[in-house]
Amino acid sequence: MVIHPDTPSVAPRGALAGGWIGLIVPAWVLVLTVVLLGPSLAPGFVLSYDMVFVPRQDLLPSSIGLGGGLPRAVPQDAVVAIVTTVIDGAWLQHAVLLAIPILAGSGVARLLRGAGHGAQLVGATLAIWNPFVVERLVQGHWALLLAYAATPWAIAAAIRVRRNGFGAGALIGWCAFGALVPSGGILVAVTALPIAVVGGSARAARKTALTAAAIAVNLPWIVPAVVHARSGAADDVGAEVFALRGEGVWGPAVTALGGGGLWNVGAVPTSRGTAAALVLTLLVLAAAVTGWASLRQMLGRAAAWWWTMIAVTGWVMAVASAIAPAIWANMITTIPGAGLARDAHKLLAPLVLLLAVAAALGLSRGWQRISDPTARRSIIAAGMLIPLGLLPDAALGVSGRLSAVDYPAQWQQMRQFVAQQSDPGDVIVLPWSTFRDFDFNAGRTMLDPAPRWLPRSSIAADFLPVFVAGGAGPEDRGGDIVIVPGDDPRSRDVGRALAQGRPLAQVMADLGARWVVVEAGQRPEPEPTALTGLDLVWAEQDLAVWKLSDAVPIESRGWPTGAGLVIGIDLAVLVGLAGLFAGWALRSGGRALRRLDVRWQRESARKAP
Amino acid sequence: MSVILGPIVAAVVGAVLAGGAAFAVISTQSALPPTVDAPYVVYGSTN
Repeated sequence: MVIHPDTPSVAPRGALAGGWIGLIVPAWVLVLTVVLLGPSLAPGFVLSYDMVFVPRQDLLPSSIGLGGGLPRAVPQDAVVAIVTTVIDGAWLQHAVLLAIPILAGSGVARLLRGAGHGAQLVGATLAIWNPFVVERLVQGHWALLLAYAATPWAIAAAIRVRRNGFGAGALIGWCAFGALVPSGGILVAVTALPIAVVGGSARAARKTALTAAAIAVNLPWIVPAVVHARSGAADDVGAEVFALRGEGVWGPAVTALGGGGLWNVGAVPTSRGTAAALVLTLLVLAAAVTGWASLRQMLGRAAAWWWTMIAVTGWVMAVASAIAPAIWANMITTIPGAGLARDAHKLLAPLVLLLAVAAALGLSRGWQRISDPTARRSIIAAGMLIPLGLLPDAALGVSGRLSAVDYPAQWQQMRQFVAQQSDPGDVIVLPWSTFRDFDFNAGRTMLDPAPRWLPRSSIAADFLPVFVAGGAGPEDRGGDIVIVPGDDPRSRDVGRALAQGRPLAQVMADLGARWVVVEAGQRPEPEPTALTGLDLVWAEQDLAVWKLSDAVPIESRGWPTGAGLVIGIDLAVLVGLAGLFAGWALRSGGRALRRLDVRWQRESARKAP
Repeated sequence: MSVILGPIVAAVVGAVLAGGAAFAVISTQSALPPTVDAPYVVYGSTN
């Protein structure tokens, strides 16, 4: 039987069959989602490493890449700012956290639609319950995970385009969905777009338009990166520190095959260092090798080969970052744009998804040879449950590492105070470090939330201190702490002034800053001299706001170079996507109405005497 | 053959899940990585 994603779902005979059984896949995806997220789903905010949400985030120049640093969270911050004007940031974050496993699981199930419910269940499990998702969740890279979750949907759309020319709108939509951050945009576009536009049955003009649209939805981060270029975009220190890391004695290559290897041991579940991780990796790999022929049959030769090539390339590059760090660092620093691959573990996303689909098909081939329905069902159940048993500490918010908390009330009060001030000027945030470990968040490491709370542009520390055992080396490495430098020039100026022991009041005017927010109890406590010449204008528990005297005129910061182009591009992309969505909604609505009309006519005919 | 396959698979799955659950319970007690003694809150640790 030739199976492909557009084949209606058919369960293997005697395994899983029946009318209600169609609900089992979404139900299982939902169960896995709830078990994975656990305490994260309670009311409040989940604050872990780079994942920081606040109730209301303002749309600031930095949200669209016009701040001082590289556009790493662009247009993610702009989208969050726009959405939190209508819904609370906590609700948005919960929607995001739920969307990641639900979309990833159902996307892989969508690709496996022609292979039966058993394969869908196993594939969805592997797409959700794997170290890539778990480690990136703890690290807080939610936008990358949304792109990961969008990828199987984008591949399904690309295969439709390739086969019959339909699905271009969906593909553009998924490309846009993934492009909340640069690495996500590249992941979806590189994995799916060539399947649609290289060869296939679509007309050349359609392929050109599709390619242009897929690039266009990535322009919100491409344009600011190009027109607002800064020095120090990628450095060899960052390339070495953020290289893939082996999680056991089996080394980085096997670790990467299992989807693990994030540089930060603090985000890695404990079980990843045990034999369970090796067993899970080998089981999935063996099943995937067995299922690859079915994958080729299901997706088509071109799609299967392209996806495999991207997955293997990503794996080779990720492993190279660990076993040949000097070559890797040289590549990252010399090839334009390669800095995006600095955090090498990200490159494993296509492989993890490919293995999920291929392993499900491999296992499916195995149980189809077994005649006893009970034995078949037990193998399907094994495929669904063994990944959970071998990565058990992923459950319940990665064993409690992800848990919802509330910000103390003074954060909202501080925001309101700053919002009420009419004097212009940006805000410097102290202590001068990028991360925090607040008591209200159980001491978890998190990015300083102040820049997202503040209704004005802020100047905050943007260097990344990473603990590397035995990391003594170049002069910018202090003992075992390696400092990966930031890229915001204003941030660099503030850091230099503080290091020299100068009062901030001496540099604030030139930097366009009038306010200083101090978060007490965080490291390093600011030197008393730093606030000399400033007035304390608001304080509540651990938060305080200081102000530079009104008598001191501050440098007015105009729009940076290329601001008009960036804003114009953003608006054009927004309008284009709105049009695409409206068209999809109208078509879908029309189809639904036609179906209702047909049903009503049938009912009327049946009731007529 | 396939008659005994079901119980065997069920036993293996049960054992894996039971072992995993026990591991997860112990793991929860040490969910947060130890704090690094540094002048800053570090972004993460590679070791």
